[in-house]
Formats: sequence, C-alpha cells, structure tokens
Amino acid sequence: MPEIFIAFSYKDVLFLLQGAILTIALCAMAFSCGLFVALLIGLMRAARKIIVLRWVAGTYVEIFRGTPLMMQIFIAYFGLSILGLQLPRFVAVSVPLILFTGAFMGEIVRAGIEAIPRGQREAGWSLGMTYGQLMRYVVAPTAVRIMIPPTVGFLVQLVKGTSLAYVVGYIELTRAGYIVSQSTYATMLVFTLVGAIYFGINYPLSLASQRLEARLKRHA
Amino acid sequence: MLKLENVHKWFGNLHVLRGISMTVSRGEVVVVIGRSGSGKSTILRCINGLESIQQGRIIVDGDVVDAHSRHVRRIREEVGFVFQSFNLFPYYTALGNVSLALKIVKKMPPAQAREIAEAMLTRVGLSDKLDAYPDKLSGGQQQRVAIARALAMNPKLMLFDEVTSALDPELVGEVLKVMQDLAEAGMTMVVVTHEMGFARRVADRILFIHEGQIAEEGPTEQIFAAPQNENLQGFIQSIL
Repeated sequence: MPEIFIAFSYKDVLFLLQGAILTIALCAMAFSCGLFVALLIGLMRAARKIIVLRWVAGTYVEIFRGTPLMMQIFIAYFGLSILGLQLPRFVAVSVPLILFTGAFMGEIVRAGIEAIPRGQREAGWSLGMTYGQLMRYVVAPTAVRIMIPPTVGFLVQLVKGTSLAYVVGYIELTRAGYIVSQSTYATMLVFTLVGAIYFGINYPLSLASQRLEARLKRHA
Repeated sequence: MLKLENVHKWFGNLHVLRGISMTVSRGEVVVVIGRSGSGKSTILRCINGLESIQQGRIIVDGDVVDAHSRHVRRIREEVGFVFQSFNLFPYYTALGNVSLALKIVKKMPPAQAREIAEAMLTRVGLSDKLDAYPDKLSGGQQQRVAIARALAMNPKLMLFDEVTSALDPELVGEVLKVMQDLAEAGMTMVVVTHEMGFARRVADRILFIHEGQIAEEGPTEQIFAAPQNENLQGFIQSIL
C-alpha cells in the first residue's frame, strides 16, 4: 500500500464529519431564517397595487442575487470591521447567508404566488376573504406545490454555498477536506470522500422532495 | 336591493361603462345581454368590487360599494358571484370548496359548515360528489359546485357572469336548471348570458348593453317581441 494512505486515519474521517455537521447546521439555519425573509419579499414582490413595496423588494433581490455571496460575507466580516463594526464570526456568515437565501427564495415565492390563476383569487375575494385568508387558504395550497422543485434546487446550491464560511475561518466540510488533504497528501481520496459526503446530504433532499411532490399530487 | 347611479368605468383610456343606471328589486331576475366587449361582465365585476369605478355610485342593500375600502368585504359576503371559468379551488374537494368560506369568513364550527355545504351540494344535485376534487368533475358539475359555494354564504343577491359560456353544449342544461330553480325560489339575480332561451324563460326584465350604455331595457316579452333599438334588433336577429 502506498505510503500516502497510511497517514490517513479514522481521525481524519471524524474531522471531515465534524465539518459536515457544521455545513448542515449552517444550511439549516440559513434556510429556515431565510424562508421568513423570502416569504416577506415574495409577498412584497407580488403586491400588485403597492408599487413602493414592489420596488423595495425588487432592489433587495437584485442586490443580493446579483453579487457574489463570498463578497457579501467579506463585507460583513472585514468590510464592516474597517468601519469599526466588528461582527462576531457567526453573525458575519449567517446574515449574508440568510439574506442571500431570502433573495433567491423570495423569487421562488413570488413565482409561486403569481402562478395562481387570477380567477381563483377573485373567487376568494368574492367570498369575502381577507388578504391573509386568501393567501393562506387559496394561494398557498397551490403555490407551495409549485415551489417545491425550485426550492430543492436552491437548497442543494445552498449546501454547497455554505463552503464559503471558510472565509471567516469556519472549518466546514470543504475546508476540513482541504486541511486533511494538506496534512495527509491523500488528495484524491479526501476529496472523493468530501464529494461523497456532500452527495450524501443532497441526495436525500432530492428524494424527499420527489416523495413530497408525489404525495401532494395525489390531491390534485 | 341593488342600485347603480350613473356608473362610469375606464380601463386606462378605454371608457368601458358610460353612465350605467339601473335598479334591481328584491326577488327580481334581471338578465343582461349584449355583444362581447359591450361591458356587461364589467358591470357585475363592479357590483362585487372586483373592479373599481371612477364615477357614480353602486349601492347594495343600502351599502355603497367601494372597491378600495375594507367595507367591501362585508358586501361581498352578501353578494354571491359565479364566474365563467368556475374558479374552484383545485386542492379542495367539492365539500371543501363550499365549506371553506363558511369556516374562515363566517367563522362557523366545522360541523355546521359541513352540514350547510352538504345541503347546498345536494340542492345543486351533487350529493354523490361531496369528496370529489374539481379535476374529477365535469364542467357542468364544477359550475354547480361554484354555485353551491356562492349560495352557502346565504347571499341576498347572486351575480352570474356568463356561467355557461365555457361549457360543452350538453352540460349547459344542468347549470341553467339549477339557476332556474334558484330564480323560482325567489333569489334576486343579475345574470349576464348569451342563452336567450333561458333569458326568455326566467328573466323578469332584460337589459341590453351597447357600447357601455343601457341601450334598451324592459320586460322580457317586450324586449323579444318588439325591440325598439336597432342595435338590439340586429343583436336578437343574429342570435336567433
């Protein structure tokens, strides 16, 4: 057996798995918080009558979707510290991830809302529903079904996107892989393993979404 | 019951309603006829506050309709609207479609809402389709669910906007039958339709709309037997 593999031990695998846990944690945090932002942004973007809301949300989306996530994290951590505001590491990486999620998911929410035929909203209005009731009981059941595939697509991107947390010194999965490969020189093995772990996170997500889609379709 | 006073409506530069004034009394069935694009559907949509008006007043049972106020919700609760394209909620069963607004708008307990919904669906002849989703129903059945949904709210006034236009010819009859029963039960109705046979049988009064104005109105017999307005004469000839 070649010498380079001997240095690679179960400790390194544990180290990678620790990185994976951080990756999952960052992702779960960014997604769950980002979803609230997205809901707000999506509703604002879909507001047909209030132009100011649409404009504000539109600008937000363009900025956070049109600039690299890495740059956003850089500014949050290093940029603001130059201005005298030193954000804690966790905040400096979480806030951009959440806002980034909010921008992308916001567009998915908007598309879901706008895909509802106008007549269905009018039917809701004509029955005396409030805006909130209309959204909750008429728009959401259809919109959520439309949103599932693009949401999973985004989530998979997000899992990989959290690797940028290394910018502020977090050792998530990709960074852990880099460190292990540097110390063991088992580059191919390590990154194959890292890839496999990413796949192990993402593939169940895809499967779950397919199941969910199929289950919801039965009631169509 | 319903009163329109000199109602004007513009879509951008397009002057769609040009001074519509009309009244409908309790229990009356008024059928609105006219060519496509004459503004007849717009009248119904304004009455329900789905469109705003730029001039004039619409009064439903003593309340002024203002599409921009919160108040319009209360009026909508009392005015049933049936659409050309049914507009059922696709992820609710027939029963769910009918009972949803009872539960969330009228705040009824689920059991009571279900009871009323069942009664309404039975009334439109769908007691065997309570648990069917809209995509498992024919167009005629969907439209009858939509009528039941509006009726369940116990409205004082029902508006029908070309409700049979999207239906296959053989399904038109079952929907018209339900509407006729409703009229005979004393419901106040404003019906926009191209079904002249139905208009003749059921209407107390006919309004002929031409280019956003009421060109002629009168008792049903008179409109069909002796139309005065030449546009109406042409219209009736083209349809019969």
